[in-house]
Amino acid sequence: MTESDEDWALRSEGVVLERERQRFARVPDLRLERGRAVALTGVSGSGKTTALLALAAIRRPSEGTVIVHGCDIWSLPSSERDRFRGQHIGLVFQSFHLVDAVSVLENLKLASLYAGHRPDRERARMLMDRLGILDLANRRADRLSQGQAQRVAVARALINGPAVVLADEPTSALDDANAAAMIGLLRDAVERQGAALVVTTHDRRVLDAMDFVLPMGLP
Amino acid sequence: MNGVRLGFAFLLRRWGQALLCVLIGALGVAAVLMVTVAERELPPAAQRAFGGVDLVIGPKGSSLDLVLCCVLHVSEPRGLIPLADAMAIVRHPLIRSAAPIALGDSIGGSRIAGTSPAILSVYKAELAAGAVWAAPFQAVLGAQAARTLKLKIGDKFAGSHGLAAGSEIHAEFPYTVTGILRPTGSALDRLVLTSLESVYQIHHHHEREEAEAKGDPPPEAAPPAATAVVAAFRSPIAMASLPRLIDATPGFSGASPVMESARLVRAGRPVIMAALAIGVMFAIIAAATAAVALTAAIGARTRDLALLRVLGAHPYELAWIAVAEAWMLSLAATLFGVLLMIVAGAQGSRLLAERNGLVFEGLPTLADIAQVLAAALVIALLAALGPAIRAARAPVEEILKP
Repeated sequence: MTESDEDWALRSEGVVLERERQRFARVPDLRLERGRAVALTGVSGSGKTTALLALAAIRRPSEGTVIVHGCDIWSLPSSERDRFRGQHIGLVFQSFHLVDAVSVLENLKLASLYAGHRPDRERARMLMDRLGILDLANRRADRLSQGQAQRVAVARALINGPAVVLADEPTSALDDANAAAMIGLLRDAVERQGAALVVTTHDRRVLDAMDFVLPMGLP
Repeated sequence: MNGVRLGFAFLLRRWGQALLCVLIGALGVAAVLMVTVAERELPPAAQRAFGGVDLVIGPKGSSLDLVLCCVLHVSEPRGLIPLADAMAIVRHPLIRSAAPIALGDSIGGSRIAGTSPAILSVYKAELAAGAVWAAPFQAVLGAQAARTLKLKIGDKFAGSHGLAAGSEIHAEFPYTVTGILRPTGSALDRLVLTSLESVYQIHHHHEREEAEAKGDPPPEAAPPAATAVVAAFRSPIAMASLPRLIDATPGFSGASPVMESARLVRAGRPVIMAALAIGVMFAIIAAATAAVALTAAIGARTRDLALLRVLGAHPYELAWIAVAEAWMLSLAATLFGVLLMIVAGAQGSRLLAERNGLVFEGLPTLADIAQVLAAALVIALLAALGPAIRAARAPVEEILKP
């Protein structure tokens, strides 16, 4: 880790993505300080979701480096990379990907547990309260509406106070009121917790709340 | 929330699949236990059913038939032998005790056997209550016969003609129960014992009635006869010589239940082996099916397990969830399988005791259960390892595609 790495919550350089052994997208170089938010935009198929997976240490890019919280995430062995992701990266998937078999509260607890943290019930309640899902705490995840599941996915991403929050279309299933709450919460996470936020979106409501908007590049 | 609770939650989420897996596994466990118990318990049960009878003497014919009829009491008599001649044969230094058996009537499915008190010595039987008959039409009941017929000392009953139920009842010759035997585990438990004279008197009365009905003169009393004579050896040496010696006597044949049973087992070996092989094959198929169902059940968790990896779970934590889930299924399958076996074993042993006089404990031992449980846990572990390894190596981005 270099001294300059510590200044950035997220830094990526020269990240190129491949699909079926063909280069198809280049992620704009990112230097995000804590508290900053950026939106990645681009047409469908431009590689926005794949870019987030590369930044989240889930899909290996063909080229480039990704440094999160001072750590070159793609240099870590697989199991350490998983644990690092759990501790320092909050992820909101486009399809939410909650653990359907357990309750909303248990989804949040699992995220803490597997990140190696002791589940913080108070923090979970605070997040659920802010997202308007406190009354759903004991409801099984497969019995939630799309909008409710999306808010649970955001709460789960924030439960461990991550250095970086990566959100794929976080307001796609929300009405205006809930989208505003979601944006508020994500901005709050950025500002109060000193996290960096990267979202992919077409939603003008989200774009307006970001510090920068960067288009996906061609390789 | 630990791995066990999470595994349990996954099972509840797909309870139908889990239930199917448990039921298939339970059938496998029950089949394995059934084969194990039957293989261990049936041969000694057959030996016990012979009681202390080392030799049975009857009219010329099949030795096996003689054993089935007059030792196990599961087939019909095929003729009579002169009592005096038969008793002369068994007055031999190598024979410890002997008793005649005269069959003819029955009550509620239990045979009434005319005999002498020496039969208790042959079977090494003891009275649980009361006394041996001292006069005609007094009876001593085997333990199972007393229980089935619900008779106690002092009760009276009438036999019906022949060995099949529903025949003419000899109401004019009531018996009085004077004694009840302790259980022996042998065919004696199903018999009603009385004096030879009781059987002769009823038989003679029946013959007279038949003659009167036909308008014939009353028949003369025939010399005393018996269906067979059962005997216990003083020494096992007798086994080698006495049956052959008796076979050489005109009009008689001698059979050793142990030798006939061995001959039967040898003759029926292919059938027994086939039954055993079918049982084992069924158990293996059930275990394999359970393993496949288990693999499918855990394979269905691939998405959930991949998601836990995204949240930071270590591969060994994923493996533990899969193994915990598999062990819970196999534990439930073993539990249901044992319960199934206990119910089937109790019913089976009851039916065998009632119909064939084979008294045995049809229940698995704790050691049987422990072995089956250990095997089930190992199979579950093997079934869980594949999906667990696949989950740990799975391309997460493919599984979690939008």
